[in-house]
Amino acid sequence: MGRRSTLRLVFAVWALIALLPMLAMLQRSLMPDGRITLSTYTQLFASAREWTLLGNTLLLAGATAILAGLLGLPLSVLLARTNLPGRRALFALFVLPILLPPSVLAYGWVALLGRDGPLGGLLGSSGGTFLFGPAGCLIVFVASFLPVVLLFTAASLLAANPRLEEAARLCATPSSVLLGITIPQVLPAFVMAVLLLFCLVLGETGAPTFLRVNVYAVESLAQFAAFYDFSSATAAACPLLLVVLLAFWGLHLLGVRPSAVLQAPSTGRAPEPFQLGRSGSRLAVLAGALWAGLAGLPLAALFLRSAAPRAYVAALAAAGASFGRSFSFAALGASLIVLFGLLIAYGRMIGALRQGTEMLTLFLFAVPGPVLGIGLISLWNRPATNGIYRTPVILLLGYLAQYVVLGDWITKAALASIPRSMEEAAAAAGAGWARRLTTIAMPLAWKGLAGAWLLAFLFCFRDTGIAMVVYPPGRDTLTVRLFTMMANGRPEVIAALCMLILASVAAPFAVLGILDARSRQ
Amino acid sequence: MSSLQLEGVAKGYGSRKALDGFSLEVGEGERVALLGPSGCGKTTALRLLAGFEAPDAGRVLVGGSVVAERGRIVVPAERRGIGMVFQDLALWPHMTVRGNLEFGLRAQGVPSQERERRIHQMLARVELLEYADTNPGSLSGGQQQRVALARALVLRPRALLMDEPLSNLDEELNLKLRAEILQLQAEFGFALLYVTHDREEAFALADRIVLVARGRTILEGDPAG
Ligand SMILES: Nc1ncnc2c1ncn2[C@@H]1O[C@H](COP(=O)(O)OP(=O)(O)O)[C@@H](O)[C@H]1O
Ligand SMILES: [Mg+2]
Repeated sequence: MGRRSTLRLVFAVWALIALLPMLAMLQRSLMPDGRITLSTYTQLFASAREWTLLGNTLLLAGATAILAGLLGLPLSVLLARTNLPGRRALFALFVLPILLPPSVLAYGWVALLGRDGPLGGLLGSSGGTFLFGPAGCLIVFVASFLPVVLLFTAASLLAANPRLEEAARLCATPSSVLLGITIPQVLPAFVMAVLLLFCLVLGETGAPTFLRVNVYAVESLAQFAAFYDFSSATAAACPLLLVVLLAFWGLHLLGVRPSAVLQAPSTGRAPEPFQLGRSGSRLAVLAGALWAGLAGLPLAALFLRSAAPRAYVAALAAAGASFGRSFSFAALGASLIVLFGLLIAYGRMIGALRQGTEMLTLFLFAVPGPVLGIGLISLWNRPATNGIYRTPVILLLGYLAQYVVLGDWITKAALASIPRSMEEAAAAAGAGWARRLTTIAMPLAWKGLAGAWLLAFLFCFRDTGIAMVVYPPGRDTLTVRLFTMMANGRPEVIAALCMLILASVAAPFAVLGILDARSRQ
Repeated sequence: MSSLQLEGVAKGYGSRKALDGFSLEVGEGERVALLGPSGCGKTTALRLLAGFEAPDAGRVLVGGSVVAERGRIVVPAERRGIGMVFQDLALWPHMTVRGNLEFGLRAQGVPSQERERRIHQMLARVELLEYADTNPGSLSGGQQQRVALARALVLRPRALLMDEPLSNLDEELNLKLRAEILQLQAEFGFALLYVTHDREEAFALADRIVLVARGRTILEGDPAG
């Protein structure tokens, strides 16, 4: 089989893995007992509760998107494009929370402001009332998903052609250049990030459950799927899918193309940083305080709460096996994601796949995890496919469907940095495409591939949405175990578990940062 | 009085010296070509004059006053009254042709009626009036060049810096635009500093040619002599 058809086949396989579950889900919701009927939908949405839940969830996601957008745009400029002291470290700190399940931060907030927390005395019982509700949930979500805005906007800021700004500097002050030239250039990336963030919040389960906020993903999806009535769950999943579809349609109408936004950084020199002058150190302190307020203090409170070796021993005893599973599932998932992501990105580069394929991989990333999970069950829960349904394979398929965009995006950037002539020289020497890919492109792009693997690993590791719905019986992942422990575990043990999760993501994250810094040189 | 002046400037990037004790003078209304092989420091010289960078040593003067010296920018780019046409043109893709011309006028505080008048005049001059509301990305190579020229000239700069602006064009268009640049220069009277690695282009456009190699002037003279 030729190169183009092989690469198209790879993409088709991925698309089937990703889209068939959704189709199976739709079919199940419309044909609960073999005949086509809307009864599941009419029964479900006859209850006002579903509508209220859906409305509240959309409101919460919308508020998070607005707040994170308002903070994220200036913050990205500040951290990516100015000479702010300590900007690299601050950027890493602000990005860190996306690698943790939001429930970790939620638990941190309670550890901080709860009755026995370091600041608990300050607020008395009002701390709890504030936290256990939409406001607390909003703070946790903003801290957790702000990185989405930062990452996309900063990447776009750094990929901009510096000449465009210089042409403006000849006639305009730095602030006019910033507002008139720099920011308009990154608006597509920013808008895409905010909409993506909105979709990601829709699927969150852990933090709202713990903070006693009833959201749709928990009440209508996870619980139905687990305890009550699977047909209802499939019907309940469809509105969320529709919301995500609408968000992507909106992106399309706005002319925002993921293939243009998820650009490889320009190979030229990065644009000159804006000079902050004397206000620089004050802004750095302000940014540091914002980080402390969003993530630093709750994480510190978790550390204080856990600070006893016994707590760690107990945490490992309770969750050690889940830890091991999460590591191996995430490692396997990441390998699959890099393999498929590389072949898809390569296929697009040589023109075997359309640019629009990137919209699809990004769309799957935005689909709420529990929706994907319900789709996976709808498809694979049949006697003939028990080998998938009852094993970790179903989870790996979910990871591959949801997170392939990470492999796609990062390897695309890495492949783009290799001069075309390298491969052409190998072709002239008689090497077939598979050999060229493995002996020329992959070794030259190794930093990108390693980065893609680490990022995919981190996202699989932190995944709660899919795992919560599909984890194979008796073989939960760490995030699912954390979720169950948070309902009834001892506080210091949970805090210790959170710290262990933090430590496990911090190491790959640090390596990722080093790889990124090296590839920018 | 000279319009643009570099006095013994040095500029290094890391251990590499892009310019090393480099001097240059361009008189009011004079046309000077900076000719030299790739990597010899021509672009760096333009960037120092434009105000994007400060010299490590030496002074930069515009209109007789010091605008930068020894690692310090005294007058920032936007107050030097210099226009520039970049090698890749750097037209702003998120604005129309009119928007590209208007941005600078607005930033310089030109009132709206006056802006309208000047944009109209300038676009008419370069025969782009009918494209005022199109996106520059949709224009041909030659038209884009003229937008870049118009964007710089609508601000009535005292000097215009051009960094190999015609190097990506075919022969015919190249000749046509050379003539156009000469005409515009005669009309507006700005000083022109034109960077190129093409001898013929330098001879056609300049009153005086400065040959550069490895960050130093090696020869100066007028094309006739
Ligand atoms: N921002 C920069 N960082 C590092 N090196 C640079 C930078 N700008 C220019 N150089 C180096 O300085 C030298 C002169 O560059 P340049 O002025 O662009 O030459 P020219 O325009 O004559 O081709 C080159 O060796 C180039 O690699
Ligand atoms: Mg140059």
